[in-house]
Amino acid sequence: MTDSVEELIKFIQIGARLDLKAVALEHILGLTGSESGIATLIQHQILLVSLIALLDDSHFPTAKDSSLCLVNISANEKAAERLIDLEIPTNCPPLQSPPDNIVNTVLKFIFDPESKIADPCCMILSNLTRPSHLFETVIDGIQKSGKSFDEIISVFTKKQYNRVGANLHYLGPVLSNLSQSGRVRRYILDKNKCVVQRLLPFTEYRESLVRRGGVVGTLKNCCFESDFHDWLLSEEVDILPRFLLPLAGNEEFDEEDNDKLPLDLQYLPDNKIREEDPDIRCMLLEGLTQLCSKRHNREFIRDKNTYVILRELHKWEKDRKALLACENLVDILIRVEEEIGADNLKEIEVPEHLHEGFKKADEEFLK
Amino acid sequence: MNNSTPKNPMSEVERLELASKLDQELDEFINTLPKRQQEAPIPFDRWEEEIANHPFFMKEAPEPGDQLHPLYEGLQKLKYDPDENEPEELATAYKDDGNFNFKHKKYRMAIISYTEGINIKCGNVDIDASLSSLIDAEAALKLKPDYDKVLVRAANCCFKVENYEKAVEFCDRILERNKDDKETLALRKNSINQAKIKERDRRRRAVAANKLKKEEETIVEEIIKRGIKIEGGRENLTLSKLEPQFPELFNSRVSIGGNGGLVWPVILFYPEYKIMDYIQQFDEQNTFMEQLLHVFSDYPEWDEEKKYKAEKLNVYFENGQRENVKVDVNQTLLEILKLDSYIVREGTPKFIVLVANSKVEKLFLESS
Repeated sequence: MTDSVEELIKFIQIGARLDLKAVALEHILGLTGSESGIATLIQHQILLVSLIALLDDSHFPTAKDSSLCLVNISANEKAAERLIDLEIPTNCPPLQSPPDNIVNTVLKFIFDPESKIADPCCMILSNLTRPSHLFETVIDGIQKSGKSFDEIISVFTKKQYNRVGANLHYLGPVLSNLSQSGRVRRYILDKNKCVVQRLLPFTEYRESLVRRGGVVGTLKNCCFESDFHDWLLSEEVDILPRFLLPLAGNEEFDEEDNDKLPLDLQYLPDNKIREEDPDIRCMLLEGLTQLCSKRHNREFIRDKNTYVILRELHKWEKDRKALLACENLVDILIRVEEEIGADNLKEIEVPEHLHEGFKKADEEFLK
Repeated sequence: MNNSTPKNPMSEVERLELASKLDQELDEFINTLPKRQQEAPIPFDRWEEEIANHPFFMKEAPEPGDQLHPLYEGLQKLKYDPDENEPEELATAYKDDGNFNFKHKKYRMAIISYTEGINIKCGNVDIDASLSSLIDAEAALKLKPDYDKVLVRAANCCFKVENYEKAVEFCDRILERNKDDKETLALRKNSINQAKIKERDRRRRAVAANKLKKEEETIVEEIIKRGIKIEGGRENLTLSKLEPQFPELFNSRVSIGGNGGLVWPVILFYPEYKIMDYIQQFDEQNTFMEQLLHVFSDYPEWDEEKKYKAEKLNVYFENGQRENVKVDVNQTLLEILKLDSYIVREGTPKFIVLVANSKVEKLFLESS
C-alpha cells in the first residue's frame, strides 16, 4: 500500500500531467473514505503538504478535489492533528515553493470573494476546530494569520460576500467551535463594538441548518459568561427574544399575555413554525437557562412572560432531551424567589450524594 | 438700556383699589356673555337614565348611531378636531383608539381607527426633506462609496423615513471602518428597535383583519345554514351584499351575537304616520312580541292618539309577490326569516306595524 501511495504522491506534484493528477487525486479521495485509508495517507507528510499546495492549482477541478480530500481527512481527529502540526518546509515536494500552513491557507480562500473552494475551506476549518484539544491551537493560528475574529464574523454575516456562489455557511460551526474558548467569547461580547449583534438575526435563518445551528451554538456558549448577562439581556443586544422566537409556535395569546411578551413575539401569525431541529431547540433552552443564573435576570426573564412560550412548547415538544431542558427551565421560572433563595444559581454547591442522584434521574428520563 | 426711575412699590390702599377695579371689570365682562338657558331639573325616575348617558358615568361606549350626550359630543369634537390637534396628536389619538377597540374585541372599529391614524398626513416636513436628502446621498455614494459623512447622512435619513433595514445597512457600512463609533452603534440599535415596533404593529393589524375576515365568513355561513332567503340569491353571498342602505343603520350590519346567534338590523314601518323605527340589534331568538314590548314600552312621540301598545299591534311583511303576510308575533325573528315567503332585502328585514282592527289597517290591507 505504501508503495502505491508514494506513486500517487509523484503524480500530484504541481507540475505533473493533468490527467495523471486527476486520476491520482481520485484514488486519494477514495482512500479518504475509510479510516484505514486516512491512517495510511497521514503517514506521508509530503502527501498532505501536496494536497495543501494543490488548493492553489489553476485547474479548478484539481483544486476542488484536493479540497474535498482535505475535508475528509480533517474530519478524522488524529488526521486533523497531523494537518495542524504539519512541518511544511521540510516536507515540501521538490521543485515547488512550500505552501502556507493549513489555517492560513484556508483563511486565504475563505476571505477571497472570487474563490470557488471557499465552502470546502470553511468545512476544513470547521473540522479542525472541533476536537477539544485542538481548537486553542487553531485560535492561535488565526490570531497569527492577521485575520481577526471580527473580520471572520463580518464575512460570515455579509449578504453575499463570496461572488462565485459559495455561501460560507460552515463558518457557523467554526464560530460555534471557537466560542468554546473564553478569549473568543470575550472578543465576540465586545461592548464597544457591534459583533454579537450581527449574529442575532441568523437564529431564524431557514435556508441553512448548518448556519443556524452554528450561530445558536455560538450564542449559547456566550451565555456562559455570566458577567455579560446584564448586557446581553439589555436593549444593547436584546438576546432574549432571539432565543424565544424559534421556540414559539403559532398559538394565539390574549391581549394581556401579548402585551407582556417581547416585541418580536407579539401577535405571531398563523404560519409561524418552531425550530425543527431538536438539538438547536436544546441549545436555545440551555442558553436561556444560563441567562437565569442571577436573580434579577431571572425576574426580568419571568416578567417578559417567557413562561407562556415555554408552556406551549412543552405541549408540542416530543424530543426527550428538549423536554427535559424545557422542564428544567420552567422549574426555575415558576418557582417563587423565596423558594430559590439564591442570588446566583451558579454559586450553589450541590452535595456530592445528591449530584449522583440527579444524574441518575436525568439518565432514566432520557431512556 | 437702563430704567431711569425705579417705581415705588404699591401701597396697601393702592393694592386694594386695583383689586376691586379688576373685580368690577370681570363682572362687567361676564354680564356681556350670552346667557345659558336654565335647563329643567331632571325628574328622579329618569335620573338613572340620564346619568348612564353622561360621559363620565357611562358604563358602555355608545354605539354608532346612538344619540349622544352633548358633553360627549363636545369631547369627541375636541379629540378628533383637526384644528384643535397637532397631526401627531391626532394620529396618536387614533392609534390609541385602535388599541382600545382591539382590546374590547371590536375589530372592525379597530381597523377603522388604525387606518384613520395612518392616513393622517403628518405633514411632517422632516420626511420630505429626508427623502430628498437620501436621494442626494445615494447619488454621492455612487461616486465615492466610503464617504463617511454622506453615509451618516444616508443612515439618518433612512431612519427618518422609517426604512430601518436600509438604515442598519448604512450603519454597518460605517462600522466596517469605524468599529466603535458610538453614534452609529446607537443609531443601529434604535433602528432595529423601531423596526421591531413597526413589525409588531403590522402583525397586530393583520391579526385584527384576519379575525374580521373569519367573523364575516362565519356570518355568511350561518345565514346559509338557516336557509334564509336573500334577495339576489345565496350564491356567492358576501357581507357587502348585506350592508344596510339606511344611514341610521350603516354600522349595524347583521352580526353574530353573544350567544352565537345572528343579530339583525330591522326596520319597522308605521304607514299611519309614515314613520320608521330603526332597530339596530334584533336578536333572532327574540320574539316579535318581546321586541314590540321593548319598542313600545312608552308611547312614542308621534303616537298622538296613544294607540300603539304592543298587544294591540299587528305586524306584516311583504313577500315576493308584493302581498302582505301577517306575522305571528309570538314567533322569533329567526322563525319568520326562515319562512319560504320571507326575503331579506338590502340586509335589513323590514316589517309593517299597524294598530289591529283600525281603519288605517283596513285601508292598508285593501290597497296592496
